[in-house]
Amino acid sequence: MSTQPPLELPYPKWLTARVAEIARYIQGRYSFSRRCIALLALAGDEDALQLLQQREHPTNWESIRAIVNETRRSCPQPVTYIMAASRQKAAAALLDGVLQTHRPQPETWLDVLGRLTMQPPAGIPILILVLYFALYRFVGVLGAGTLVDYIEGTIFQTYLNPWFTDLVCQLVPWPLIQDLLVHEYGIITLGLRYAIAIILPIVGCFFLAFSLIEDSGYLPRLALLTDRAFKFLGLSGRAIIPFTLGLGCTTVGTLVTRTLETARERVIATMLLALAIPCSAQLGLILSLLSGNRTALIIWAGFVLLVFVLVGSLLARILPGEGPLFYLEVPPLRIPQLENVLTKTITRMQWYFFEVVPLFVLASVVIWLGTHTGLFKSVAARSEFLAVCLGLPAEVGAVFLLGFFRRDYGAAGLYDLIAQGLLSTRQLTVAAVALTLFVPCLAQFAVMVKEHGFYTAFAMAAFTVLCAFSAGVCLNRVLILLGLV
Amino acid sequence: MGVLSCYKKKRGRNLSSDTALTAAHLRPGDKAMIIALDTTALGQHANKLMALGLLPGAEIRLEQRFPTLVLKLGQTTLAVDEAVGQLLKVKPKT
Repeated sequence: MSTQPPLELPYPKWLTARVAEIARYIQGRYSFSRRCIALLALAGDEDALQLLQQREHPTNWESIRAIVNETRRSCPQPVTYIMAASRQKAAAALLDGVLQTHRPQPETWLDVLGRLTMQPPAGIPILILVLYFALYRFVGVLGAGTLVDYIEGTIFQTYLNPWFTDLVCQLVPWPLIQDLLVHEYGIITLGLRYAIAIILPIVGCFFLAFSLIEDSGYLPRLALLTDRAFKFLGLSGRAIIPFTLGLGCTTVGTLVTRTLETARERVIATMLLALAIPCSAQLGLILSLLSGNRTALIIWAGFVLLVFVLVGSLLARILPGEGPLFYLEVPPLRIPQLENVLTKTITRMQWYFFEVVPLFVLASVVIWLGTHTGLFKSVAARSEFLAVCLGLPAEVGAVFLLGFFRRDYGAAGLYDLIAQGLLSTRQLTVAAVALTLFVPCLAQFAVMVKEHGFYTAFAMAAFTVLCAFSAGVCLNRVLILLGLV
Repeated sequence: MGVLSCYKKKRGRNLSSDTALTAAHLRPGDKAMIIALDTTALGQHANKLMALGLLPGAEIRLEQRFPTLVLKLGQTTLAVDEAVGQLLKVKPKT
């Protein structure tokens, strides 16, 4: 076989001339041809430009840079666009007469379902069904209800906690150290119990449901269906991905806001995640707390959604910059592979577990320190004032304080208060709303600082606290006016 | 309502000042060839759209218009909103 001549790409003549001009100034040694590096430089490739700057004589580099800048200035369109269009033309010419397109295969039921999920008449009911079964039935009822009841109620409260308490009390004679390990705020009886018995089952169920949805190819369809609604909030349908993930863990959701196209979208999404998106642990707990009380559940859901929409549309109006554009590839629907789903779920649970347990232990230690030094009492007294403003019992103040260590920790604290029968329907609703809107947890705040810098993150957190409390106070007043006790 | 009327206004303006057909004008089932991307209006988004295969010379078929436009491009399915659709100039194919 004879060797083929290299394929001549039909770049416009002036572009080929510029490439040759640049190539003349290139004298260093590179692992690919001069023509190639000249093309990359013209296209504005950062790595190629950096290499040239390092390896070429300064005068040559200056000439190269001048040509690149001049080309970009004089060219009405981006150079990358012209190159891509030329390549597309060459590819089409190559394929012409060689490629035959057969009639498409008959549609499988997955193709039909895939099409239906993209069209509102069937797509919206499917969306509601997916959210209802995946989030409410599976995470809320099975995870936060059945599993938590069994692991927390039966295994921990009946067997493990009394056993550990006896053991520690026998081995350690000092009450101070006993308090650190067991009793009300102990590392084992509180920290590990929350982490393993309450949070892990809920988060585990969420990650399983999310992996199934993710691997089926449903997420881009969710984005497509919700795009128009998100435009009201200054976001595009893409935002559904950080928000859905945020329902699992708002810290992860905040990290994933990186996938949004503009800084403006990232700020709006981060704010809404910090404010109005409850994480799965919170969501599961709140659902199970409110499950016995339909009125409270409906008011809570409606009010949080209202705050989400109000704050989002407000931010979309006041933040400078252009509205978002939406474009996304929609893959075909697939049956998720069990092995992949399980591996993903287990990896995410491991990650969550290793991140969560030390923080819970730390929180137990801080509470132990705070309780025994009296510091906690004075801070709690201050947060009690806030609780009273919201028409809540003073004990809730301590719950909000815990909420900063972890959002779910705060919700878990509420769980104990309900179990003791300390809250009325109105108080339950207000507490659930304030806790959902309340500050991001420590981990989420850390990610906010990392993504947006300290001042922006601090401003967002301050706004969140202010908003949570004013919304809570308003709701409390409205509920009293409506005559709900 | 605000957004809808805004879209209508934009479309109206585009039609009057610039008569070129865009992907946003296609009906479901229509086939067309992309002739240009409005790279000025797309700005930073242009490279990403090109990476998805939306290039001059590419053949598309419009699958649906609502809630977003859905384009079939070879074996790829793409969802783009109305605003992006208006920045893709096309030539209809029969």
